[in-house]
Amino acid sequence: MKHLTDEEVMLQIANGKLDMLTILFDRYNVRIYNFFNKMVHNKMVSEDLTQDVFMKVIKYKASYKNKNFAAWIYTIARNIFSSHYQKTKKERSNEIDDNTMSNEVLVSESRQEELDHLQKALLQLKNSERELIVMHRFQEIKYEQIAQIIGSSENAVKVKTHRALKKLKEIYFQTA
Amino acid sequence: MKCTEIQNQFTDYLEGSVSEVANSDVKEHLNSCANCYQELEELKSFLTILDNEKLDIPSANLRMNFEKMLAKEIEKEQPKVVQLQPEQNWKTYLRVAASVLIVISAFLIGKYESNVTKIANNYQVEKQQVLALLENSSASKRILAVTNAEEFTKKDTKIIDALINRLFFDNNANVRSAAAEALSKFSTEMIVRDALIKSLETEKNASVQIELIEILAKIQEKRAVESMEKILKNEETPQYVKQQIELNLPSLL
Repeated sequence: MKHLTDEEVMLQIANGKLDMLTILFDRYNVRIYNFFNKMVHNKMVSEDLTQDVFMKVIKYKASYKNKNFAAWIYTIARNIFSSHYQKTKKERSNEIDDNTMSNEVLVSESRQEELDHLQKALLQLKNSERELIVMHRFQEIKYEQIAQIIGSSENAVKVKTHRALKKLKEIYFQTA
Repeated sequence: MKCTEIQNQFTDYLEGSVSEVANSDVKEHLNSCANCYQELEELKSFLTILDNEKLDIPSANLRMNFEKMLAKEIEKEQPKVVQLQPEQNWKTYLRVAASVLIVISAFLIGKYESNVTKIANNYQVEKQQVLALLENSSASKRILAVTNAEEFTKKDTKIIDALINRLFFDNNANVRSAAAEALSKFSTEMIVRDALIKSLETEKNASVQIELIEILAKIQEKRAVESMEKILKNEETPQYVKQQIELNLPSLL
């Protein structure tokens, strides 16, 4: 079982072998969880959203049809993040106000603080910018695949990712 | 080349994924542009911070909840799978169909068998009635019995014997005549043909003779020619009987 590709496993799940989803969960749960955690910066919410992704994989298994599995599951993850974002828009805007307030007093003394600082900088990016950095830098997804996930060209993804990175760097050093 | 264009290539440049030509272009630009050089240094240190970012490990709850969810989904799917499995359905339907077939065939066989015995019983009863009637003292009853005997399309030696008996020995000419007619139905039987020829030889009654002549001509019994010629020669034979023989004899010659 372990030597099967993601696509082969997914096809078997689509054919009704639901228990095979455990294999894909093993391969993807940490990455998907970290994707959400970078996007929303909340462990509990990220776990819930990761759970939602695997539920949607089962729900939409019939629509899978031999696509690149990583691209497919990240498409699902993005959609889930998007609906979560819409749902919590109001709460989140208050949250960001709190974050910007606390940013002013934050001093990067220890490594943990440095990471918190980076996370807060990340949260100040637009969703579309943040997800590019998360997918490319943290998840090490190739530009080509990101292009497939967000429905863009590889070159456009490269340029956008670079711009987002530059913006993030500026936010990071400004508030450092 | 403009600074922005060079800077757009920085990430690829740091990853070493730009072409050699572009690589030397970037290097050349960096030597002459302090601004871009500083930008690159900043980006480099920032990427180090980013790359130091380790994957956060989710709590055990995630796996636990996933396994719970999956078990539930599999359970939900289970009855559907059974329903959609054609093999299972097939066998069940086959079993039901087979039992229905057995019940129906058992019923039909029973019905058929009872019909057969009923018909056989009826046949036996009717035969006994006919045979009894043939011995009845009333001539009209015997005629009725003879005509009823015609209904037995299936050859039955008992019935045929009884009819031949009537043909030879019945006192009433009408009964003998009716018996001859009834026997003509069984003309495929040799015993019937022999009886009809013999009867023509012994029969004295003109109307019965005429009946016999007609029957023998109809069944093309060539052996009857001799008897017919004998009757023709007989001076006592009535004229209308001779005429009947002369009418039918050519068809037998």
